This record gives sequence, structure tokens and C-alpha cells, in this order.
Amino acid sequence: MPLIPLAYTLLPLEAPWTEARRICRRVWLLRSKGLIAEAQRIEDTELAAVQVRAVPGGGLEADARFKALMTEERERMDAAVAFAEVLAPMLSERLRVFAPERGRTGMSPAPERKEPGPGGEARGIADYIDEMLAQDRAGSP
Amino acid sequence: MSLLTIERPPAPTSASSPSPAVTQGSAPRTPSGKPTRLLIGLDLGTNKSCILAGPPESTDIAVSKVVPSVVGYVKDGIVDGIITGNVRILYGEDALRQRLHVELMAPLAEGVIARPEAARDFMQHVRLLADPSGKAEIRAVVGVPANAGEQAREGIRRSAQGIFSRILLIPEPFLAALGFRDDSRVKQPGYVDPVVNSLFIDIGAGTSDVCLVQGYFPTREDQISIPFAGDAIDEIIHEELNRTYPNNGLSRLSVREIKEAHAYVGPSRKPLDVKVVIGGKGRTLELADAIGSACNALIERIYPALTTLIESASSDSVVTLLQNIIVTGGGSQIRGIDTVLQKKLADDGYESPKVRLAGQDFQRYVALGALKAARAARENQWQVLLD
Ligand SMILES: Nc1ncnc2c1ncn2[C@@H]1O[C@H](COP(=O)(O)OP(=O)(O)OP(=O)(O)O)[C@@H](O)[C@H]1O
Repeated sequence: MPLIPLAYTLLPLEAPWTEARRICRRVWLLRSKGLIAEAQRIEDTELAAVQVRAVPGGGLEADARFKALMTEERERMDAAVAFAEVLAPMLSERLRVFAPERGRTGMSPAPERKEPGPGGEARGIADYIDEMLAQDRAGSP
Repeated sequence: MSLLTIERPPAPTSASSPSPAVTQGSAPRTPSGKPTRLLIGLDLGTNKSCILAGPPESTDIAVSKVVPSVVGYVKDGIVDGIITGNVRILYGEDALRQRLHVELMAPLAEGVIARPEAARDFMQHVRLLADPSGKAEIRAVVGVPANAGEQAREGIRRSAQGIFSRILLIPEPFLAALGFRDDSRVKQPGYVDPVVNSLFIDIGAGTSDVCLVQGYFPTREDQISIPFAGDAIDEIIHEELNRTYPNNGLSRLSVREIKEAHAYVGPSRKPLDVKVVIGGKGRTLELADAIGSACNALIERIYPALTTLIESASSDSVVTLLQNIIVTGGGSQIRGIDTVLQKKLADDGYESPKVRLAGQDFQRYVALGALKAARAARENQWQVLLD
């Protein structure tokens, strides 16, 4: 799986850009966990600030470069999440064999978006519990 | 523990959210001799705890109790016969009744376990209430405050170790929505399922929790826990009483009783004369301002949290959400709390807001949601508690 697209290596790696990449990854990670508000906050504050430092004059070309960076980081994150989605059930299956039941909780990906869900009956209570456990694993309350 | 009594089940629940029938008795053993499994939905409150229990794969509720969250350790030197059965530990109402003869301990403070020993004893009591035979295999879903961190959760797990076989900790606001949901109406057109789109305001003793519930499990951003609730109101009223009526000798418990009888929000309800006994003599105190300003302080704390969460909802959902704001917990009994919040929202330009009270059954919704969750949980979602 080409986790690092070619364009990544062509972008400048000086300090503000490196930091921007790091913040971008955090933003996409938060979004993938459904923590939209927190992601937006970081985008509006930390990412906006580093953008100003990375491209002090602004301008169309600089904006385009910044957008490209965002897109690349999103693709990397998507690839990582997809990888984890394949890996997690495999690992979970194996762990089940070695450590039956004790202290184990359900494995499922974190909620992906913060939009109102479908009608109550469409999703069972156990699905909500799965979401909660995914959040717990991700470090939320 | 010999003071354990099997109470009659409570009267049928309010019309807003009919609950399953309550049946009496403890769980029998299975024909194979394996211990019967019993599920508990537990709302472990700072002030009061609600325990609902029933068998899996059923909607029956075999045990339904609301117990003050307090343990009383009988003081040394109490002569035989003073305490029925000469037990050493009393719980709930029994402990409060014998407050002169016991050392009272509240296992929780501000929604989290503050006294682990008392918490373990209290859990033992919960177990016995649910399963007087002491033989069933118990699995419990326990409500935790919206902001409970790992330490708070670990505190609950430890106090349940060796008492319940498996446990699942779920934030209280979500359980309240689940408990409040009228399952028989979920498919009816026009019924707004609180689990799908609602805003819960749960005003307890230690914390007030505001939570957006929108058809997915609420994230950290969807829940705001404010460390200002019933206990803080008691404190403000008490301070004000001590200032205006020095040496009044009223205990915090008496202040709470006064609050529970007269609490209100909104414009002053003067005159509000309250009769109290001070130093053995009856006196009438004018308490409109003391009670009103303490309770209105709660509104000032809750309202910003409410609007923050409303504004974080998507534009597609917000109109329906505004119709489904529900106040629960003991604080929902404060007179005028629904109308004052609704008016504030309307005055601030929110579209036709509707704030409702959860109703008389407010003490049971978290536990009811917990029991529903216990019945629905998959095998691998439970946490096994080591003995
Ligand atoms: N009629 C009433 N008027 C005002 N306040 C009331 C009334 N009845 C109960 N309360 C207050 O509600 C609070 C208890 O609410 P509740 O039982 O929901 O809390 P809890 O679950 O024990 O606490 P927490 O949720 O913080 O752990 C107490 O402060 C109590 O004094």
C-alpha cells in the first residue's frame, strides 16, 4: 500500500511545513474519530497560524500548495484507517483465541461523522455501545 | 444486612415514557443448576442511587429501588437491641434513620467514588437488593458522569470487583435518553426518538450534565459537565441564611429539605415564608431571595452550555432538536426551570424552543437505560471483573 504518495516527497520540508503536516494529520485523525468540533477548532486556530508562517505572503500558488498538503495528509490518514480496519478484526480474532473474554471489549472503528444518525430502531443499542467503546479506546470519556 | 426488605414495586411510570412491568421476586436457578444470570441497571448517584434488575431476554423488571447513597457504620458501644438485628452496617434510609447511632458515609462525591470502602459495602448492598438469594451471576451496566475519566471509572470497577461478574460503564446522559425513550412508540410517525435527536439536561447533586444525543454515541464535544448542581445550591442558600439569620443552627440536610420544598427559578416569588425550628422554637424566615438567587445561579451556569451544544448541532437537525430539550435529575424539580430556560432561548431568537421535564420518573431513567443496555450488550462488550 503506497502510504506516502510521491508528491509528498516533492513538497518543501522546512519547519512550518513539517508542522503543518503534523497538524493536518491530527485534524484528519480527529475527523475520522467523529470529533468534528475539535478538528474544526484546530483547523481554525493552529493550522491557520502555521499556514501564515509557512506562506507569509499568501497568494494563489501558496494556497494551492497548502491545499495539496491537506489532501495528501487526508489520503495518508484514509489509507492508515483502511489498513487498520483490515488489521483490527484480524488481530481481534487472533487475540480472541489467546485471551478469551477477560477484560476484552468490542472492536469497531470509531464513529466517522457527527451527523444525526438514522432512526432509533435502525441502529441497535449494541451499535451505540460499540461506538462508545471505540471512543473509549481513542481516549474520549 | 439483615435489614434488607423487599419493597413493593413503585407505581406504574409516567405517561410520557411507559416502562416495562415490574415483577416481584429473585431469579431462580436454571434446570442445569448453573447460576441464573441477572442483569442490573445501576444509576450510582451522589445523593440517591436507582437499582433496576431483571432477567436477560425479557423486558420484565424484577427489582426496582431508589436508595439514598449512604452507608452507616454502627458506632462502637451501641447497646444490643438499639439496631435491629444488631447489624454493624446500615444502608440508605435505614442508615439515615439511625443517624445518631451510626457514622454516615457517602460513597460518592460529585458523581465519583470518594470513599472506596463505603462504595464496596454499598455495592454489596446493591447486589443483595437485586438478588436476595446471593446466588445469581450478576452483570451490571453502571451509569458514569459525562466527564468521568479513567480514574473515576476504575474506582467503580474496583468497588464492583468480586460482587458483579461483568460490568459495562456508560455515560449517564446517554442512558437517560435511552431510558426516557418510549420503545413502543419508536416506529410511530411523529415520535421524536430522544436517542436520535434530543438535548438532555441532567441536574444532579454534584454535577449538571448537558448532552446532545443525535443518533450516534455522544462524543466528548457533545457533553458538557458543570460542577454546579443541587449541592452547590444548598451551599449558597446556607451561606445566605447564615448571613441574614446568624446562629440559625440549621444543618445542611435541613437546608436541602427547605430547598426541595421551595426551590424556584425566575422572578422573585416574594413573600416566601418558611417555618423552621431553631433551638426548639418555631420561627418564620423569609427565604424568597436566598432560594431564588441560588437557583437562578444554576440557570446562569447551564444556559451557556445549552446554547453551545445547540449551536454545534447541524442545521438539518437543529429545528427538531429545539423541540426536544429535556430536563431530568433532581434539579428538574426546581419550579419554573423548564419555562425559564425555554423563555431564555426564545428571547435569544432560537426557533420555537420547547423545554420539557422528564417527569416524576426522573429518578429511574438512567437505571432504566442501563438495564436496556445490559439486555442489548453483546457478549464481547462486557468487561470481566477479576475476583
Ligand atoms: N423538589 C426539588 N427541588 C429542588 N431540588 C431537588 C428537588 N428534589 C431533589 N432535588 C435535588 O436534586 C439533587 C439530587 O438529584 P439526583 O438524585 O438526580 O442526583 P444524583 O444522581 O444523586 O447526583 P449526581 O447525578 O450528581 O451523582 C439534590 O441536590 C436534591 O436536593
